[in-house]
Amino acid sequence: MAWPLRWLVVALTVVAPALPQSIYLYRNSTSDGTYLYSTAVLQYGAPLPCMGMCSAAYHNYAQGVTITSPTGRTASCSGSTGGPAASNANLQCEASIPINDEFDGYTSTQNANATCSQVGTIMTVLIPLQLSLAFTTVETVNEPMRSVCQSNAACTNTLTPRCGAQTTVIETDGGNCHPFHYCGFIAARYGGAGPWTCTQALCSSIAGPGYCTPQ
Amino acid sequence: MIKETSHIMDAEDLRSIRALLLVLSLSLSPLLAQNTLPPGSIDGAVNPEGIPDVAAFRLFLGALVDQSAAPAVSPEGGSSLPLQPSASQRRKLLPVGLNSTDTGLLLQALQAWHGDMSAASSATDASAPAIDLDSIAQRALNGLKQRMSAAGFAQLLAHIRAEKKHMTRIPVPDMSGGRH
Repeated sequence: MAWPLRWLVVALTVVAPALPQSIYLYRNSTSDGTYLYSTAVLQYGAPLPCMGMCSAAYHNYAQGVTITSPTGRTASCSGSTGGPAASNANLQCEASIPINDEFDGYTSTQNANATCSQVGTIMTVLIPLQLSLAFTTVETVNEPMRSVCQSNAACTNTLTPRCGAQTTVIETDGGNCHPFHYCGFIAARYGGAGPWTCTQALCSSIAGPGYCTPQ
Repeated sequence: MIKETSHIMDAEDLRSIRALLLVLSLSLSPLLAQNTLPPGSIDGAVNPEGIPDVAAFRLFLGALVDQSAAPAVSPEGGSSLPLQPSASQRRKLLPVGLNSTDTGLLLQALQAWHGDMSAASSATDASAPAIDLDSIAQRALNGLKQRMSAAGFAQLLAHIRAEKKHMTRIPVPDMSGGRH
């Protein structure tokens, strides 16, 4: 290798930053109308290259999720793994709790921790997510050629449903949009403040307006 | 006399304040722990651009893996037919709004990704070269972009980006230089 090129390679090797190491956490909540589910994911991407202390370090990871109902019922799952810091990690578990006619005031808390044999604890977190099962009755617009349906709130008890502005109905059974869908939405927000974000959970056809969770 | 009384009251006040602080710190510590992420963390609800798309995609796939179900199979065993989602996968895919063909392609990509991830996460030899998780996910994402319908891929990407609000990135100390 010519000297200038060799020096360039050396310079780039020294200057180029190591790829950042991170642990990623993810919480996913869904419902089928009978149960509330929460899935927790932890992923660790090993650094490339893993040099110095990294090559001798051993990591342990643990994570899980606990769902707490408005009356204090709980359901949880957890998992753990360990290996060299040079290896990746991927953990996932899902907890479920029956709804039992409790709709408002669930909390789904992801807990996770990681330790390193070289430096001790590198992460301990508790991330709570406030969840509510917000039911909204919507009257879908008849759009025979579409499967993503516009809808209007059709509530018997309130003019301001919690998920009123976000109730686009998706037909996933291969059918097209048709009127009078009674749809369940799961609403979530962080820390008891901020806007609710609503996700479609379950739909069934009924005739006429119905109950909506108010804002 | 007045001075002495005042001094005694101060000492009692101090004891009371100390006790009050102890009670407060004990009662508030769980709340403080819940709201504190390690320095340098990125909360996707606040700073979604700090979560790369490819990392969000692999987290989404990680949640989509159904640990309790049998491997997804093609109906009637045909390899050309789309895979069928389990009940758990159906719930998680409902908000994405994919048609059955795109859903099947996503489940195929999930199977391949999960196999690669398992291999990349099971290495116990520190001297073996690590496999970049983002590269595995990027490969799956590129494959889906080519095979899914344009509308379906756009819906998937939009959903994954929206899910960043439920994602958190926590830095790990850099150990490559021999010290932290």
